[in-house]
Amino acid sequence: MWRTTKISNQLNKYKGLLGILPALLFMLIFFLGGTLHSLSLSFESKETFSLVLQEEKFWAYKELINVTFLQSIGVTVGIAAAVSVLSGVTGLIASLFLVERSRHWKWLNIIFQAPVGIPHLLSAYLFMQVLMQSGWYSRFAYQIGWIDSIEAFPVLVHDEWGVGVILAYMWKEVPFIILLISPFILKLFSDWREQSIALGGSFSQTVRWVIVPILLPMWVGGMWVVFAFTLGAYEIPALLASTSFGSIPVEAFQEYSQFGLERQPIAIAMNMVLAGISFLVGSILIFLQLRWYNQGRRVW
Amino acid sequence: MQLERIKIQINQSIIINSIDLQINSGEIFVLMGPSGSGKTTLLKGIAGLIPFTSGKLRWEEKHGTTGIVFQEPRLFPHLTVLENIAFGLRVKGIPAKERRNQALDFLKNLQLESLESRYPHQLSGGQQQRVALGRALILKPDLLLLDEPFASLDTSLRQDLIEWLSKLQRRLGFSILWVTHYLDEALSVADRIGIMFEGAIQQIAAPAALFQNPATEKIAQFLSLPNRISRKQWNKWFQSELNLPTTQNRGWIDSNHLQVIDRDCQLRDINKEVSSCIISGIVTKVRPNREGYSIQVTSENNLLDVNTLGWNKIPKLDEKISIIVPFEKIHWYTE
Repeated sequence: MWRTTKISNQLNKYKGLLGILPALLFMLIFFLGGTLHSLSLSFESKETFSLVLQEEKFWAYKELINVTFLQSIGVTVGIAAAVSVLSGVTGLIASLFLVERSRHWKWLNIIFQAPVGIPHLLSAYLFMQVLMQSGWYSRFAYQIGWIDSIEAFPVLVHDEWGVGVILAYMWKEVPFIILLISPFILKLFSDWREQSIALGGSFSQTVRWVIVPILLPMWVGGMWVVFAFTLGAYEIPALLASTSFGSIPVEAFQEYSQFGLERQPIAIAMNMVLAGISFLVGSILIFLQLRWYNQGRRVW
Repeated sequence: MQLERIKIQINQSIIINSIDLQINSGEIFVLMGPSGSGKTTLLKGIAGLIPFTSGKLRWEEKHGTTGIVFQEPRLFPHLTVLENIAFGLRVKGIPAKERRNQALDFLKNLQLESLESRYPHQLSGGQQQRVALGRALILKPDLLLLDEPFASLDTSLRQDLIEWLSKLQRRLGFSILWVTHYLDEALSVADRIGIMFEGAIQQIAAPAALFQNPATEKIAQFLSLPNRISRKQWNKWFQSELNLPTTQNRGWIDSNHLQVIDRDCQLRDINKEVSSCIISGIVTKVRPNREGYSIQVTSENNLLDVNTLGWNKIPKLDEKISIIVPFEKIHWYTE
């Protein structure tokens, strides 16, 4: 006969955790372990010689406290914020359009989702080929007489404002947002559209007052994923941004790979700053989301 | 509201086929019919949620308005009770302060005062359905369309809400087109009842008239009328050709009007009654009810449902019994 003991009770109580144990161990060993190692590396002291041998603590972070790095933070965070907001808004509009039209045009879904499978490096290369001043679009515009010379085509690659970078990221991230939210929009439409119309609501009113508010936690969550990814991604700004652009992931990679082992703590510190910003933004969003729910709202 | 030859076709299949229907001002019209008969589609068509393939919808005045309430309350989960009720006013462009005042005022009608700040999941099923009704009624529709609004609630709550809505309807004076599959619900509220089969309304009548004269055997069956027997069999039991119009070839009688009789004591006296007949049969099923027993009797390959009064004498299975049938209690109809 089966006898229940204190130990078996405890095991029974926490048996659900066994299912997530492999993922938890993976997170703890690789993510937490790697984070702690990176932190210790970035906090490493450096021996300096002046009159006597001295140990300088937190030297990597101290070196980052300068106007240039602050500007780089502004540029990197600004680009990530622009990409996430623009991708979020464009993805939402495109999803609404797809949900409305996909019943008739299924192939549209495939076109919108295709870029998800293209690597970032390749997407940057594709953008270079088409958006450079010597690229396809400029030659086409010149051939049909829209511009007088190829140089008259707007500078979108290696430009001052990072337009090419933003466009290349959007090309990849808008499909991600669509993939994330369009099934939910489809469900929300089937649940609420009829009721909203019955109360006199137009399509636009239904979207603004019903669909978007209910979708908000997931939509903002998706934009945060895009923000966090763009903040730390390297390939696209490396290929499409100007050399003086100041993208932190590009600068960190250069510090890591080009200036010897002694500069590696700086590269790690740069990435720790980005991770800190990403964590801070995520925490603020989670706080706002919890407050939204704590007021009593539900979405399902 | 008047529907003229309304037809609704979805994906090549005709759901509603040439329906004519008039609903009078202040009337409660109950629409009944089996699942898939097209009741909900008709309601959605009237509400403008599904387009009519052909036909016309006319109003007594130039333009009429409708409100619709479904079986599930369908309250917006991110909005409070007050915001849900005021949703239609917001759509109309009424300023925030005014719509708040109107919605707060309307909460009294709904008996939901002090719940205005709650979210739908914080309400009971009955409260949720009242909010759904309030959300439609605050727009003062000429016709309220109800699609089995209380079907998911338990019996006592359903009866309370029917009573409450009937009072509210009498006070505010709007018309209702009410779809239900509960006969008791239909009988307690309906001015007229329409029976719908296969996309067409087969019969419209006042509740009493509907039971007394079902238009077809199919309707009689749908209304669960007991003891539906062919005229030929009744003729046989009454041992004479019954004096009825030729079209009335079936008759039903309520189980309470069939009386089990003691063969030894009563048979001789009762036989003298010209307007009654005696049927002999075998008891095949016995189950208790609130007033006695419901028994099923087989006689000449016909099944008869009979209710007995009192629990003292328990009918036995396979027992041979006699039943007296009063002729004037039989309702005649056309098969």
